Amino acid sequence: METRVWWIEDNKVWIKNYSDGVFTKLSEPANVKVWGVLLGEDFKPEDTHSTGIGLLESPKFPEEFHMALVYNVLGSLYAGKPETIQVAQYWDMKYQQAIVDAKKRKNSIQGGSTIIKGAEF
Amino acid sequence: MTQKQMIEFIKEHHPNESDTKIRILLQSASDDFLAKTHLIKGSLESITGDSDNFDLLGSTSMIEIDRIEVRSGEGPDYEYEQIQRIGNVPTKTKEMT
Repeated sequence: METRVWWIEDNKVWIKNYSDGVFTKLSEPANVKVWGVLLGEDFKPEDTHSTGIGLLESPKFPEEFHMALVYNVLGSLYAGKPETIQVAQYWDMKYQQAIVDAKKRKNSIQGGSTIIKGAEF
Repeated sequence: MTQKQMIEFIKEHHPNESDTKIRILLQSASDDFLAKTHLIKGSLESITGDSDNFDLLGSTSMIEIDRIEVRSGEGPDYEYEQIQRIGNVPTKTKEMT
């Protein structure tokens, strides 16, 4: 039985028909919907923007993690001067912790691993 | 938190930095954070056209693919069906174009 399969090669997505060990080109163009991980929109200088994040708008990921971007920027800016390297490390540490927290939150939202906490009676 | 609020917070620490520079750093931070946490998931649509491959990773905002669905059926009753991913890239001896 012929089935459609896909793979990634040279950073491109390939789709072909497959049957009995043989791959053949699709007989007609296919409408394809690709699900995956996305980067966020671009930050824009306008107040609002239809395809980006305007000054009065927020990134589309959960608000509890928006400060992570601020931590990252502060770490970068403080790292630019030797006398504030330690301050930069503080903000870098907060950024790394935000990444850890975001991964935990993502797993809990998407039904990933659960943590069972013991209780005292 | 809005972009403006982020810039204001950062300027409390670095009042002499320009909004433009801070915006560039926020963009870089956002790309790094989302690449590491995978917080945003969604879909993109494409048509294979004459070629049976399309440039997706690197030319769009998608950085990792979870699954691919192909449209089947015509008119208002069409639906998308998931197709199988293969791990081994076909060699030319097994491929017929």
